[in-house]
Amino acid sequence: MEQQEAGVAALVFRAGPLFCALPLAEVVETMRPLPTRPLAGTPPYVRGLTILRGEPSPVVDVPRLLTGVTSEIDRYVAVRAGRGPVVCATGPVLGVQTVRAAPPEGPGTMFTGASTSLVAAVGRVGTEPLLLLHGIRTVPDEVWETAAQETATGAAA
Amino acid sequence: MMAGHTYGRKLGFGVGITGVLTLLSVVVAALCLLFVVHAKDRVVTAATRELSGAENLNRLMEKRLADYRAYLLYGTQEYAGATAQDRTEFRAQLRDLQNGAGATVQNLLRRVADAEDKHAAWVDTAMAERARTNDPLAAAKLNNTQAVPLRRDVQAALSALIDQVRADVAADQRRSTRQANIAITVIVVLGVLTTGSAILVAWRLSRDLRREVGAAVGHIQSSSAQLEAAAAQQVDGGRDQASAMNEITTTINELLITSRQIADSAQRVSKIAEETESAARNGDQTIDQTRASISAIRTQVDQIVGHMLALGEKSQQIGVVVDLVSELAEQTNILAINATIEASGAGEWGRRFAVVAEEIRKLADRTAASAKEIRALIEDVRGAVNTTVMATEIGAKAVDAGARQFDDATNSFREIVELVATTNDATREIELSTKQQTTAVEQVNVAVSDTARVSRETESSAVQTKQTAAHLSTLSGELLELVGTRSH
Repeated sequence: MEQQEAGVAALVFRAGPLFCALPLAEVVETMRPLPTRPLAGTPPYVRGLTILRGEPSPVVDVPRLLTGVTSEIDRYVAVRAGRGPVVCATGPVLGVQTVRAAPPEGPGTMFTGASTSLVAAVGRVGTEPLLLLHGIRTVPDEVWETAAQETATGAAA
Repeated sequence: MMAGHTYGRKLGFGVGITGVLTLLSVVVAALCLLFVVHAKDRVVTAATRELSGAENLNRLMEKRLADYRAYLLYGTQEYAGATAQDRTEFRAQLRDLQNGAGATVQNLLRRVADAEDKHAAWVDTAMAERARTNDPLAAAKLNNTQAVPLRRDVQAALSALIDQVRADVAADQRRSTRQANIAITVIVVLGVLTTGSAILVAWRLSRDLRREVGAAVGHIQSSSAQLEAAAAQQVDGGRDQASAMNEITTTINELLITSRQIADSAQRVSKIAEETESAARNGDQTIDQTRASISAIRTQVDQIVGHMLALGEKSQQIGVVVDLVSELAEQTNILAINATIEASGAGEWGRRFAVVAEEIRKLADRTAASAKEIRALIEDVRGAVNTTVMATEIGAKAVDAGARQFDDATNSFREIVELVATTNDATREIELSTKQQTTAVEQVNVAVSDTARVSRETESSAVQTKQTAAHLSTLSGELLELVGTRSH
């Protein structure tokens, strides 16, 4: 908590109307949007699979994940997610900033479910709120399984 | 013999025969008259010359005897000269009678001459005795004894001569009378023949006249009746025609006035048309100038369009470059961010590199922003260029449309000019025609006046013709009565 108050180097980007940030330690790289293949049976915020540096990676639509509505995608941000990188589809990337944010306060019921596992802290950029996100942990297992199956199919081919 | 010949030939033939006979009669009569005249002349000559000569001899003898007795009585030389003069005249008269006398008369004249010579000798003797003796009685005695018997012989010879001359004259008179009777007979015979021929010819001519001339006169009469009826109709027609001609004259006078008014109007219209044609020619020059101006505008508009299209192409090229710059800026931005990410895990050197990378990113952002602005400006420029090109093309089209409309207007104007010229020509022709029409109407007016006059004269002539036809009809009737073919 003290570390958060002192500031965290994070990659700031826009996700629809929101300003979001990912801890710089979890970010691998940024890039332009890559060709993405949709996958059936996945949640709506999963855009599909893309080939990132020769490896298939799931693409999470962050604005859709956070706001429930689709927005224009300008950048792909590759983040580390345990078994492999996950690609976050975002709006414009604003740069690397030191983000000072605190965990959300107030009734606990206001941040439940997905919000609890996504938003680590809330700060501000100017007069706009800034959501400091956790690492991509919310990717369902079946997504990875599907990705693994896709990879196996591609290897067999 | 004369069947089939015309009445004129028949008449000529008959008159010819009659004329020949008449001429023959005249010639014969003339010859007879000449013969009779000659006979009578001979009788008259004998009567006047011989008988009067014989009588004159007797008178001269008596005169000489008187002068002789006067000399015997008075013994003057006057009576002696008168006695000699009387004898000279007696002898001259005797010689005159001897010229051209017949044999019997010649003998008698010689007897008279012999007797007179004898008597003259004794007369001279008695006168000489009177002169010698100056005694009337002696001379008278001598006279009574010698001269008186000789005087009686002379007087007897003269009486015989006179009787013979009287007998000759009577014989000549009887002969000439006989000859005259013969001539009269011949003339009468010829006259009878001529008269008979004339009667025959007259009968034939009268018969033919009744046949042919009567028929012709009948036709003439019927034709005269028809002519009279036609003349009556002609009179009525002439009156109607005269009244119609008067109306026509009035109408033509009005038409003449109207024609003159039309001629004046046509002249004014011709003048206005000439002025219009002159103005149209000036308008034609203005049209040419305007056409040149429109062509210049069209050229300028084409040049503007060309320049605008070139500007659009340049703007597009600038856009490509700006897109490249924007691409580079975006790529630089991504690389700077990734460099910053990579530098974050590299300690102090990483932080310094991160600062540099951040500056690079900012520069890239500024470049991208500038490129975006340039892009927006280029888009504005392209939009403006497109708008300008469109507006210019619209203007060019408007110029073309205006040029076409102007061409149409020019064509229409030139058609108007041609029509004005045609109108001018037509107006001149109308003016000329109207003048000619006016002249013609005037001539027609004169002609109609003449025609009206002629109509009146025709009416008068028709009246005269009607009267003449009636008179001719009457004459035909009378002629029919004359030729004896009218049945009463």
